[in-house]
Amino acid sequence: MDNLSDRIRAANPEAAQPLPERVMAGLDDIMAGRRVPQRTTGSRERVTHRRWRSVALTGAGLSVVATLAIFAVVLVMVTRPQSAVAATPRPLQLTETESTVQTLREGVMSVSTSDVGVGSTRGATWEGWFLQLDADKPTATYIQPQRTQVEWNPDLSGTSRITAGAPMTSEGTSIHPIPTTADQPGTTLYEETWGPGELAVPYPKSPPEHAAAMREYLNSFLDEQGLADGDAATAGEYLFAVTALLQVWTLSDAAQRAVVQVLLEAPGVEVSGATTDRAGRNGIVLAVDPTSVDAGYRSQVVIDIERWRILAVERSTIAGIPDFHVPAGSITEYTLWR
Amino acid sequence: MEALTDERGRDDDVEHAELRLAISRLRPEDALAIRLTYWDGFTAAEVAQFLDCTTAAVWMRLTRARATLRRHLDAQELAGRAERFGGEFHGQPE
Repeated sequence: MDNLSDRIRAANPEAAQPLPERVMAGLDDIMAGRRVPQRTTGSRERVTHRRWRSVALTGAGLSVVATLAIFAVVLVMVTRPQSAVAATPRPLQLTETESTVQTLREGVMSVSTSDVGVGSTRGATWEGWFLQLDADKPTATYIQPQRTQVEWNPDLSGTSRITAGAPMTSEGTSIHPIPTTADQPGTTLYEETWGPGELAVPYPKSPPEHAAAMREYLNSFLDEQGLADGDAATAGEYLFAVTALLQVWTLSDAAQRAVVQVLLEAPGVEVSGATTDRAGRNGIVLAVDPTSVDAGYRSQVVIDIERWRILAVERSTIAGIPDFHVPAGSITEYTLWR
Repeated sequence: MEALTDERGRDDDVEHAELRLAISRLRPEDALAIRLTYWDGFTAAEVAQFLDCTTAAVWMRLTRARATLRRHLDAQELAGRAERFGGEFHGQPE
């Protein structure tokens, strides 16, 4: 039995000394809104005061070394950035469509279910990019996506690998020669092998292939994440759950349809238009209302309405990120599945 | 019996101290993910929001950190056995 989690929990130094005064003062400033925690990797909204307070209070249990490490992170987070403008991908170009949420619901429900039972497969491959804002590094003037491949086994062992994609302009045009600050396309950026029980897969059980069961499956994930408050989940919350699912499972066609149906039947979704995604595929764009986790960010899902599968998920900042001169409406993250 | 309990308690204390030291030697962002998840009880979504990254990145950090801690514990256990068996133990960690 894997008891690593229990051993880590047991090592919690409950009675160690409290955080240093200057750290507490810094956290108090953040809680009071006098300082703004800076994004270190891009795409999330500011942490809430409640969360900072909780961290500050429970921080009394940290060892001195760990405390200093966290303090260093906080310091980085409040450092103000340089004046360069970060490159972001051009938003998807939309054209009008006659599709509505209702017609899409009817469409996905009308598909023959003769392929149910094929089953999804463990592991997933996706390509993506997210805005990285680091005050210590020059802001990139190009987009360099990454390709992630995750393979795992029922005993929660597996491998994960991230490789660099080809740099491109904000418009999606290839850049030649490769910028000197970019990674060579195909370069392995991260690779790890996990032993039995070591891979923290959010969905260890096989995904269901009917909408009702899929909804329950996703609800269980949201429950575990503390995102289901007893109310019916919104499309934004389901999208959060679905994105996590697609990072560990390659869904069968039936499971894909079930996911699309769950999204279309949830509150907080509407059709934005038709588009050609960043991989050159035609699809319908669904706009999803922000969630409490993603307040300040707008999400879009591109779906293929011939095969009823999710092609891509994109997020953009509603108000922009002024500290980094990122304008309102800029794309901060996209993920696409081939 | 009491002596045995005391010894077990000391072993636990030593392991906890070693584990805390190992956590402090992780990359700061990995250590923070471990601490927020296992010591403060935050969900992956909350940790993602706190660390300003995606949930997938949180899982990546956790799995990376857990693998490092696992290797550390295995090495410690192997060293402990070698010590108990007079330095002649050459088995694999469990």
